[in-house]
Amino acid sequence: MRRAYSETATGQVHLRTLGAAGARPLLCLHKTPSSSIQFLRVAPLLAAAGYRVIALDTPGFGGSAALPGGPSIAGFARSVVEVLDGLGIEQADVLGHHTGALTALELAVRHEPRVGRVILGGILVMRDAAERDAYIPYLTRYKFDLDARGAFLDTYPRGPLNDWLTRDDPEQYLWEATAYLQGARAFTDTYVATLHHDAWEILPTVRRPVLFLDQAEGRCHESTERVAPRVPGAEYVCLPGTSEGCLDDPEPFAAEVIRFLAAGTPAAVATALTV
Amino acid sequence: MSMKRAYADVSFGQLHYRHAGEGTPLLFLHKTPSSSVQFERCAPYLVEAGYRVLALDTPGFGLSDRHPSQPTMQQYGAAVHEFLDAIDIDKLHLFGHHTGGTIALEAASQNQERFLSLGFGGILAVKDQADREELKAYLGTYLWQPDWRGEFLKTYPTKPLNDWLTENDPEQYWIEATAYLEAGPLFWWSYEGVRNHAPYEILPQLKMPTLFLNQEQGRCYDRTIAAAAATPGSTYVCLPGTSEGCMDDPAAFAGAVLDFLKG
Repeated sequence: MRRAYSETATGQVHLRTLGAAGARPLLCLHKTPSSSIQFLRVAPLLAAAGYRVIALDTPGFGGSAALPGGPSIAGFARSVVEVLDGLGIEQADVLGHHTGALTALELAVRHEPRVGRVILGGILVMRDAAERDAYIPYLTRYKFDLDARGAFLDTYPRGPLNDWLTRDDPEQYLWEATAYLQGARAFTDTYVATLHHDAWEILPTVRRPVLFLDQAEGRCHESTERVAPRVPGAEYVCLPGTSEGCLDDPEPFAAEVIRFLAAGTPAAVATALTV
Repeated sequence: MSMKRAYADVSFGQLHYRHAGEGTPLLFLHKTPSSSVQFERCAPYLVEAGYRVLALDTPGFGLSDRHPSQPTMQQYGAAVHEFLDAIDIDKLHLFGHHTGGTIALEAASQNQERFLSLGFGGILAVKDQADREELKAYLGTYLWQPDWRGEFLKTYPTKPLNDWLTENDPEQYWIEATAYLEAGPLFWWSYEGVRNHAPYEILPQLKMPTLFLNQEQGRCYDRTIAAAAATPGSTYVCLPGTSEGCMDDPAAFAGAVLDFLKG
């Protein structure tokens, strides 16, 4: 994929693109602590289906500058809007995975005119503070605890990678290990920011067509299954496999995305845009 | 201050670089298997002194594309010219560190008029075939392949970093570990380019002012002294410390470069 930087008020955002310049734009937002490399294998399939794939590195990850005020889903969404402005894109379909799904949701609700169809590929939604607190011990297992002899590498990135990756795929492991290190400083705070997003409250207010693209062994499977009915009229599809699906099995993942997007932007949405 | 980042288009893909400041361009080329991040700490001093500081991720390193097949040093040198053409820089100062020094030397030999000066922050200048064979064995100890359980992380980047970095700078360790992984298992392509290069055919022919900025405990210490001796009219400076000097002591490193440029 072709790489580039987009200038925003909060620093440079690094992105990867593939597909014809005039094609319908599809924003791809990755999970934490990966980067746009997550979409390297699905992008060619989506581009071949006629989309202009634009995969962003979330601020603080990959090659993107961290948000100066610290990570927040609202801040991530604002930087996406600035990138769209910079690219001259009025509206895009959005595919978000885990953290990227929360940003996609935020965009669909709070920056509605910029969004067409929305795919939430596994989404972690906290209903209250108790749920949030219960999640913290899981996170701290993978703490990036830097030292000057490399002992940290065993806990991070190796800890989460060895728990999460299940395929004998050295290329994928190296891509992810590199991305995990690039985003090491932002990892914990970004995860905590996702736990504080008000997704549970805003899900019922989404007015864009939504597909929940869950994975049966995904880390957000229970959450995704639980929240899908909160979005009126949303579709729910569950693929086999883990949260690493878009690198593990790009074909079925891309096929569902293409099927859902093919329905196009509904007339009501298109009308609203011309007003 | 962080440097800004950008890409330039060249014949075999995209080259990634960092840049900061305004003024006469000064391009830095990093050592293997680091990246342009090596110059983040010394750039502010050079910007302050009025230079437009650029640092290139050489092909295959950092976020730059690699050549489609293993390149010769001539191809690494040509890539520097392609990069400069792509971003519209005509004349400039060039400074390379270790592998970056060899790439700088080769680029200079391809078009001497383009470079206002040439600096080497330690250069692995290969003398002869016996020297080449010795270096081959050394390189062999650092080769690695990724695996899907992360066993490689125990030897790469850990082994070279623990051999080369001081024990008191975790931030530097993280920055370099990230760059080492970005380079990937083909990082040795550039080493091979250095190993098969013939620097002593070029060094005596250099026409621009040259600086050899050695480091007392640097990995190329002896070879840098020999290369400086073979370069008529060159300036030789030796700083304390190791090959990691421009991260360990950026003020001293930048100061030595500035003294040379002012001189």
